Amino acid sequence: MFKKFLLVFPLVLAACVTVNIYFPAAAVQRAADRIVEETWGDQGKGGAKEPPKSGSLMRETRYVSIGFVSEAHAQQPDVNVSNPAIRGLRESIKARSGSLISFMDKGNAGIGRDGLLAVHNTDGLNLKERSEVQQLVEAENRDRENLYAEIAKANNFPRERVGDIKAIFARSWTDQAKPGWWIQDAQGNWKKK
Amino acid sequence: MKISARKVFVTAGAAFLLLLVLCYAALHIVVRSDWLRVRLQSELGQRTGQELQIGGLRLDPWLTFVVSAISVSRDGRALFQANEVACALGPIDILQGRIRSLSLHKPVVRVPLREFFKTSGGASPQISFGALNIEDGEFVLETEGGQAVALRSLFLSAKDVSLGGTAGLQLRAYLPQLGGTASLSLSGRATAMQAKIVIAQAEGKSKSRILERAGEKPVFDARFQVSMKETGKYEFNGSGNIDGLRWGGNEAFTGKFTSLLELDAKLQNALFSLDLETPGFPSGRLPVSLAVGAVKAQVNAHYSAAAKTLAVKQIKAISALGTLEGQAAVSLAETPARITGDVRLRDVAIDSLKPLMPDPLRRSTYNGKIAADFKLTGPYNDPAASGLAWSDGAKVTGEKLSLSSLSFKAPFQWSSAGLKIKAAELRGKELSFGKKGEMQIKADRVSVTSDAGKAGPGPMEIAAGFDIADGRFANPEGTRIGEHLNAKGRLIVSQRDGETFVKGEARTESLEMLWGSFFGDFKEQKPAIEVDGRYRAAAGELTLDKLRISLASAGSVEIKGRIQHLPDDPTFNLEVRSDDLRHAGFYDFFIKDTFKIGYPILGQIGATGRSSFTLSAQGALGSFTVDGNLRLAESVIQEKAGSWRVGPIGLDLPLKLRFPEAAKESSNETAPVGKLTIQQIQTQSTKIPAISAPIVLWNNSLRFPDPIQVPLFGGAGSIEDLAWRDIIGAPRDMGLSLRLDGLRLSDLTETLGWYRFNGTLSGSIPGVRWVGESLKSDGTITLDAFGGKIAVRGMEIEQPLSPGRSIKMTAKLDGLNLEQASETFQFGHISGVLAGAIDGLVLSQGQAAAFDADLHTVEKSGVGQRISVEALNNLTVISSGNDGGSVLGGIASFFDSFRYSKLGFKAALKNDILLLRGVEGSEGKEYLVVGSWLPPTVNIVSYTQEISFSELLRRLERIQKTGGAQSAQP
Repeated sequence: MFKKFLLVFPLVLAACVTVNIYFPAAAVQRAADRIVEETWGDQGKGGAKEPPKSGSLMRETRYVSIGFVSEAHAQQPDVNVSNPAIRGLRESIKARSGSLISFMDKGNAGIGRDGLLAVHNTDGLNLKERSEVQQLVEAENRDRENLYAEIAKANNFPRERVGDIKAIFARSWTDQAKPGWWIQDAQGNWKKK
Repeated sequence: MKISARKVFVTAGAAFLLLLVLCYAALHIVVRSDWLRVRLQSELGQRTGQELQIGGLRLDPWLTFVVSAISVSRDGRALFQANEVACALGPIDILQGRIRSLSLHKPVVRVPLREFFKTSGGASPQISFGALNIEDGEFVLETEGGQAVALRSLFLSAKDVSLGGTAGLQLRAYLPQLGGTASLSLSGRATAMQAKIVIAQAEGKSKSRILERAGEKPVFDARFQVSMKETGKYEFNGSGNIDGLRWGGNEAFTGKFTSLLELDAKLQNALFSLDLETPGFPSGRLPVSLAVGAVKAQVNAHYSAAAKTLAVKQIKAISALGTLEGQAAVSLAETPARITGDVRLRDVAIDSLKPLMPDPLRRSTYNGKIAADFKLTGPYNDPAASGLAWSDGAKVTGEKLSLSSLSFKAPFQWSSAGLKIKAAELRGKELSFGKKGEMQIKADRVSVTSDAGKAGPGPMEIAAGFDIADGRFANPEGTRIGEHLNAKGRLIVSQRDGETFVKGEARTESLEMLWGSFFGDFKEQKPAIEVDGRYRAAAGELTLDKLRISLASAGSVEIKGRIQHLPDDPTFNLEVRSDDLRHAGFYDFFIKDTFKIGYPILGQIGATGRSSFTLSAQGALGSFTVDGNLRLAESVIQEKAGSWRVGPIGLDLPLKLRFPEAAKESSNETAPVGKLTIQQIQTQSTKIPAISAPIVLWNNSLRFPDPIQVPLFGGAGSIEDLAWRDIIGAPRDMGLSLRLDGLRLSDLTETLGWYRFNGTLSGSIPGVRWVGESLKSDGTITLDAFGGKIAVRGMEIEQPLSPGRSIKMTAKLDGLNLEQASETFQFGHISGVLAGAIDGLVLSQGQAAAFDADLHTVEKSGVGQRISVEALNNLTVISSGNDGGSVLGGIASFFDSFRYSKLGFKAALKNDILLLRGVEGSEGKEYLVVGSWLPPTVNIVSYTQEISFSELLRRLERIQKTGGAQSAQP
């Protein structure tokens, strides 16, 4: 009996099902690039886009792995970034972009290191414009946060992955930013792109 | 008998001694006799031309003649009086023409000024005194006008005094006003006399004069040269040092002086000049404590005995405080003497006047000068001053306050009766208030026109108009900013009985303000504040008789009441009321314009109407109660394009709110009931008539105690148990139950812009409640439509307050007549009965975001199952994207409809992908329509199971283009 078990055990092991569920960072990055481009159009075409750095948070991340056999990686499908909620948010962001871009061109708003917008400088703005840029930034950030949450929900990502989506989008917002826009680096310093 | 020489000598000696005793006794008797007293009075009176009165004479051992109660007068004017004069003689002194000692007890000497010099200038008797003592004497120098200068409590102890000689005179006097003694030394002849005056004071304060004398040190040392010029003028030329002289306090005076006094020969005019220099003026002697510092002063004056005037031709004082120049005339003919003068103050450092300023202003530094021209008039001891004080271009810097240029003009009148400032003008540039790191307030220009006054020592009352031009404020974070502030106002501030009264108003002509997310341009609003109140600093109590804040478009709010225990632990009892709060102005200004960028829907809504409220707020900031009444009248909320309108709304709501939390349940407290009425709710196609409901807002709980009956789409809706348990502590914690009865679906669908169909909607949702971010319900709503029933349950609104809210529900369909439904939706003609379920239906952004549907026909006796060519074509379009015309050509074109045995689909929508499967599946084929076994029959097989949302839309649009009117009747 024991001998039989010894013979069968390796087969059992070899037959173990391996389920790999990955956080599709590259797919999210592609989706983010699309959405950002859709929002800003050709604004950021002048910016050099760097490939994702290996070892960064954005790399493919496995969060369930069962089994001992080698894992096969199929090409990742695109993540879903379309449902009524996401569409509504994308439209809202796009509709707002015209107003925001004029403030970003003037350096009043910039892209923070978390990819959200921030009021960078209010020099030269009257109070009404200050209020406008402040409200635009707040509304934009609210929509962006909701967008990331909706993308996570639409693709059945765990809630904790919203932060990763946000970071991936931050890269897209930064990469596609127009030269001359203000961007905050990882240390919190503001620099012109 | 022989008499011895010794005996003779003794006998002669005894006789001589007896004779001597008898002579002394006789002298004693003679001295005490009236005869001698009268003789002396008469004899001396004749010789001196003066009247002499002697009260008594006696002889004290051995040769001291004591005259008591002596008085000397001339022409009825007393010249000399003394309680007692003792003159001691010695045999040798008599031979030498000398008096051994002369003592005067309480002598009073009255000397007319003229006689003083006459006497000095005339021949003096060559009498000398071995000792001259004066005890508690008084010397009175009488001027021509009858004025007298008296030196009292004089004590003199002089030795070897020679009148008319050069041996000198020592005069010592106790000066109670100075708490010290003054010594006068005179030497020289009357025509060229030297005088030395020394004043000594005790360093410590003592009540004993004797002790004071013991500890005294010289504090005043002056020397005068007294001379009579050939012109007949008398000149007193002197100088002196002052070293710590104190009077009337502990403050010491130190300095030096030179002086010159000239008297004309007739003693009718006197010229006086004084140069005084002190390193530190004793400012404690001034009415206000000012740091005067070093002073150089010059005084030139002229006294006229004939006119009885003292003309101060020039007075000039230079100090660190500033410069004083002036002239004055003192009329001595009046009692008290009257002064008139002109005074010019220049270059007075404003910073040195801080002691005159209110406490908050003392904390700043003033870099600038003040000047004043004023007239002095009135009694010399209580003059009045009137004139103008001004400053130009002063700079003020302080911990919180700075002003780059301060100019003012202040006409004033001052006297002991009070101070009046009339139409004073103050202008400042570049005002800044507030420290770095705090809210800072600035203004380009500030001007104040003020009347101020105070009665006697009472507090100041100020009535001021102010004008702030181009003001601004900002907090360090830049989140609270005001710009272009132009405001005018008037303020009256007075103090009485320990209270500060403030009354005034301020009107803002323009202001742009950014306060967090709020931006407001107040130019059209003309905000105004009226205040009438008083503050008792000792108790920290602020009483507001009126605080009214008003905006042109929104109305006004008025606050009355009292705030106590300011500033640390304020408690309040305030009444807040508004009689005319206009919704349109309030909504547009504070809500719509502030939030429409973030919430565009707010820009599409308008509000009109008026409200009023009377609220009483009591308690402390940490715990207080608000109760009162809120009324809304003619209030309307509407979509600007006119698609819907709610109102007029009327509300009469007694209320009581407690912060931060409701009070524990009190069974004794009966909550008053208010009333809510909505005259109409109107959409483009529907009007809901008047709704009226009682309403209660008490102890933080808002509830509608009775069901709210709403006539709705031909039926009735009833909202029951609608309540917010705690609108302060848990504003989302609300619940209600809903009953719908017989709502006409034709009206409802038209209102919603759907395909119009008939039927009714009824149902009951017994409970609606908040769970997390969702508003969930239980119960079922049933639609009686298309001959069947659609039961909707599990309705849930996720994030209902967010623009991205979604609605979830599950629907079960039973017995729907497909003929009615297909015609309604213009899908072609399909007969049959439909049943099934739609699970997990999510509506978001007005679209279906997800569902899992299984809908299929069920056979029912008497109901045929046929499908028209048009419907077949539409189904083909939806499932394949292609027109089914080519497929259905040929023989099929001979038929209008086909029989089928099953029709339906299973569909799942998620992430804009519709997964469409047929009602049956076989060999990889998905049958949407399964034909019957009797011809004509047709099957529709779907091969493309996944349809993207965009493709689905395209296919539906294609169907609609080929369809008829949308409002088809079933």
